[in-house]
Amino acid sequence: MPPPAHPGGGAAIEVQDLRRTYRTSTGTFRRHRVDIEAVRGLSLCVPPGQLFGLLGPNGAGKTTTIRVLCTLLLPTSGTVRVLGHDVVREPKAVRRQIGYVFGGDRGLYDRLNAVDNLRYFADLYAIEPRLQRRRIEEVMELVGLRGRERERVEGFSRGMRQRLHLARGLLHDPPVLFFDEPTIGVDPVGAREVRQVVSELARAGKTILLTTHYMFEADSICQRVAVISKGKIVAEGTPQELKSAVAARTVVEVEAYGVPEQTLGRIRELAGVESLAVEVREQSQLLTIQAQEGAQLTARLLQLLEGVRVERVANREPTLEDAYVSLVTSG
Amino acid sequence: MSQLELGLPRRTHHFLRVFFVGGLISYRALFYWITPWMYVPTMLAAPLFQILFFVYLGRSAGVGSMAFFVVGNSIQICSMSGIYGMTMAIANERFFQTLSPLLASPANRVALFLGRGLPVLVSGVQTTVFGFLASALILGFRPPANSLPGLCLTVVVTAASCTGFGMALGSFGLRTRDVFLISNIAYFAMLLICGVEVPLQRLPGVLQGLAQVLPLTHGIAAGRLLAGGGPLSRALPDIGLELLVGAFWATAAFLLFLLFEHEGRRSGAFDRL
Ligand SMILES: Nc1ncnc2c1ncn2[C@@H]1O[C@H](COP(=O)(O)OP(=O)(O)OP(=O)(O)O)[C@@H](O)[C@H]1O
Ligand SMILES: [Mg+2]
Repeated sequence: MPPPAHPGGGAAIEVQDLRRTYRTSTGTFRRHRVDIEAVRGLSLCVPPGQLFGLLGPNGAGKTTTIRVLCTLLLPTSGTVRVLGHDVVREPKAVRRQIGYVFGGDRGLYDRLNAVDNLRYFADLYAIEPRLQRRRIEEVMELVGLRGRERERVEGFSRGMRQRLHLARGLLHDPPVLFFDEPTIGVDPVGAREVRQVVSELARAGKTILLTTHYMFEADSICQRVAVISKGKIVAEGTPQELKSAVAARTVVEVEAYGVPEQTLGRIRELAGVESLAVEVREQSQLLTIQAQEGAQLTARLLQLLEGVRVERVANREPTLEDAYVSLVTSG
Repeated sequence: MSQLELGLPRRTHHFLRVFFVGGLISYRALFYWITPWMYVPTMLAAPLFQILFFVYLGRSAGVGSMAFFVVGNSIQICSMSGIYGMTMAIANERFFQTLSPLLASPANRVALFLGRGLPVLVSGVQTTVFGFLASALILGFRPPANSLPGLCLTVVVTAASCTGFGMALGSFGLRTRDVFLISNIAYFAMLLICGVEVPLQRLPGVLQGLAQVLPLTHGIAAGRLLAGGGPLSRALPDIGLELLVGAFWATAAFLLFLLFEHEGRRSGAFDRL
């Protein structure tokens, strides 16, 4: 697939040192201004035809970045270009070439049926009336909503709404697509189908930027991944490369009951320990400890955990999730 | 299929589609009172009771003529569609959180925005025509037959200017979630200020001045003149003024829309409930 020619050449999505600050105020009478730096100097570059994943915890700035790319938010500073068009100076040119799919169950006209929702956007995107019907059928088929076309969206389940979002974003067959958590609220089978659709779009030559919280999602479909934390990219590479950053590590999982805060602190300070993540389960805690390979941790750990009820201790290979956790918890 | 630039015929066609077809679809999507069991009580029954209320109030207080109240109220009730219809056409986008996909589309903003006015205008005319017909049936209101074409023109122009004004109020829906408060105040203030129930010259000077730039005022004046047997030529200046007021508000509305769209991109306030 030859890269489409466009002014500026090169990258399909180009973000240089993007910053975005929100100004909010608290208090009813005595207004107090607060500036929230959602994105703090983010740069990325997605070549045409690539499926690029943006991975990060809640509030990392993923949606903010995508909304800047979709011309819905102005950058506070930095340059952002899509197919060579600047999102600030040429928003209309950008809008014509992008599709925007966001997660969640809002954002549709509940009182209209699925087809009318799409018909409206077909007109907004200037799809020729004689092509509209066929195109709407195609995308409904693609997202698996055939047979539900004439039902009002207010009766749709969350997953169905999510599929309709997807259909709407694909309607005008844009060369660049932005997906903001496209599988949120979709059941596992449905999510797999959505991922399949996204992969196929990438194979068909679309440039795609996708955000997600799920490592395996990024791992399974993205060609390149950037991990974003607190408004900055903390790591970037192929899923393989990110994994190799933790490949020389070993992961110890300990399931225990009521580990005191003090002990957690001591574990962190053990020689060879790179990171410690604590996940609170119903009764127990799951400690995931990443350490340098050959650190011989288990004995020392059990020593520290004396007096604590330990359910299970296990060693395992690091996964992309471990790479991610280590990236977003350090610093 | 994605096209970089549309040729002129395609552009015109796109404009017309968004204006007419898009306007209608979005009306169905956003106008709450569109179902018959909402439309009949809200847009027909309640306005009829308003006409009757003021006619009988005037009668028992011995002020105004029946024609004064019938014409005033029948024309005024078209503002319900104009004001609330247009407010919903924009504010409810926020409610459904559809502003993001809408504003991320390259659609022509003039067509997108003004097209939403057409169904609202038609609905406004419908309410007023119903008001006049019901008054003829129930109250025996009979304007001279030769005044009917002029009255029709007046009604269409007034409904249009109310729609233009409603657009301006609706634009604030891009900025604030509480836009219906503004619309409520405007609606009832106009009942007082625009000479619907009280002759203009009885109002304080400030309000009389304000009335000149609000919709309804000139339309109602023209309507009363025509219903009283006056010739169309004498009503035309008022009809023209009403049209001018409407065009002014529609233009202001569009500029506000563009301003608030830009403002929203700056502040990031779209789709926050
Ligand atoms: N409209 C807004 N006004 C004020 N602050 C905002 C606004 N939108 C986002 N923020 C703040 O900006 C930061 C980044 O938010 P953003 O939605 O971009 O994160 P995210 O990575 O998409 O998170 P999530 O995974 O939870 O969707 C957060 O601290 C958030 O509170
Ligand atoms: Mg988000």
